[in-house]
Amino acid sequence: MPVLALSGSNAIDAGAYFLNLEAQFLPTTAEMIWVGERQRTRILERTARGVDYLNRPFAPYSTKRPHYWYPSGGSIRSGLRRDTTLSRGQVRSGQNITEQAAARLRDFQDSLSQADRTSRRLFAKLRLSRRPGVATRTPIGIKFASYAAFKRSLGRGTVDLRGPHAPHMLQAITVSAMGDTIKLEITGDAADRAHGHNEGTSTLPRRRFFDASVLEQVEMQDELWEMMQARLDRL
Amino acid sequence: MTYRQRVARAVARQDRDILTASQRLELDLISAVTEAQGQALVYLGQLQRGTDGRLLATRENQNRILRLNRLFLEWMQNAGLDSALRRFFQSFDRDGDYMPPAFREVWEIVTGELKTPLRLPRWTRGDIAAFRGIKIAAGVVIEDAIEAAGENAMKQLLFNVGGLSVDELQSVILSQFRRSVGESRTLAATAQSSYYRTINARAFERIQEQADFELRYSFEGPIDKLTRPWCLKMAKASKSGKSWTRPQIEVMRNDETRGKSQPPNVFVSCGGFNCRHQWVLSLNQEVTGRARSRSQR
Repeated sequence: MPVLALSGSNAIDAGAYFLNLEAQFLPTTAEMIWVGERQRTRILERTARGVDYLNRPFAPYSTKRPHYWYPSGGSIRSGLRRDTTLSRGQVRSGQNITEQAAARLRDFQDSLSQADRTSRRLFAKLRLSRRPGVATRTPIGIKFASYAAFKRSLGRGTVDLRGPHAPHMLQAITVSAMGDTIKLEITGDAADRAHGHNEGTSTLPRRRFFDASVLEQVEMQDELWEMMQARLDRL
Repeated sequence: MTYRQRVARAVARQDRDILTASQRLELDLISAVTEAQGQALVYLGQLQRGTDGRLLATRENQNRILRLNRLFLEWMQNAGLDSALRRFFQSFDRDGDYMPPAFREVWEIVTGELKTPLRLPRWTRGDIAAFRGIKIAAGVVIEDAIEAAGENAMKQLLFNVGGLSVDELQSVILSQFRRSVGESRTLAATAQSSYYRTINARAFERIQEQADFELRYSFEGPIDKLTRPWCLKMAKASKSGKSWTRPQIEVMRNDETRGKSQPPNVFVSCGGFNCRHQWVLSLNQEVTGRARSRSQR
């Protein structure tokens, strides 16, 4: 705390000083965002270790059903279904294929070749040919015996809720503060996936990563007070 | 009416006046935010879209979205935010008379009950300086809250209007730009990741504006067979406890063979296209040399 000079050329008004001090005992938005961002770091670090907000290991990945990985994105699969059906239908019925449809078919065939090259490259990079029964190539992707086998093939034994693609769910955590509330949220595309993991669904076990334990809440309070004290010291 | 009832009535009248002023400010704020949102909708309507109406992940769009933060506050100012605040503060000002009507009324009630009447206080220069200080501090708190509310309103709008789905974005880029599947996927994924990193970068800037120490960041994300060498090096260094300041990060080059960053600005692009990593606040950070928090001891 700075020394109060009550007399002399540097004297300050003691009453004004203390009355002002009362107003300073409210956290600022920046301080609350600091606390929120630190909690975001904690969430990410413990999720990377494979534990939930209470430090319990996450439920393991599924070993039951096969998992299909499309390195060029899921839309190639729906595109495959839509465009080939349309084009084949036109050819079968004897209609002339319009120039537009022909161009679309050519583009699509290019996309197929590229998807095939990408999955071939990744199949080799991950040395999956040396693991028969674990993974096989499909025309546009790679089929794994299970999701757990897929994650292991990437070199990840821990359940860390991170996929092979960007952006993944954990990149979508944002922090904001207003009034006396600090808000951490996952919005957009990733929100449904995050909710599924956090609360569990009929096909996903509950892996509650997006929460704060009592210990973490105490840490947050400590951090807030530490920042406020640093600011008050500068008064 | 009893003495207590008269005092209570005077205090209640003051509370009503304060409430009226607050409600008026609230209406003014809602009007300013609504107008700014309207401007923002028109502004976002100028973002480049594909023929199916979906947003395109272009540099121009990204720059427009980054400018939105500052513009939103300007639109609120233009919609009368400053005059609304001035009106609110003036409703408590009585030309230098720091004696609210309720205070005088209560003083009269109390002094009327006493044998020896009280003298009305005369504020000293120190008292007036203190009142001014409180007014300034309260004003700062209110302005801070309004700025935060404006930012949240703007962010919500951004998510509603500009929320991008990677698969949708990919198919738009694929069909509109005749890019390959791989390129479309890369562009869509990188645009989305950069979008979230930009939001977090803005939060970090907010903290840095107030902190008198340099924030330190760790490089967070998966380490596996798909991780590129630069990201692997950074993630492993972070895991071993290393952290960096923003100036240190901004001179980094994620494409070491060519000596540049691709895309530019490592703080927003991290390892580059398709990067799955992000910058987070390091937990191994002292706050201006103060004693560590209880949990860190």
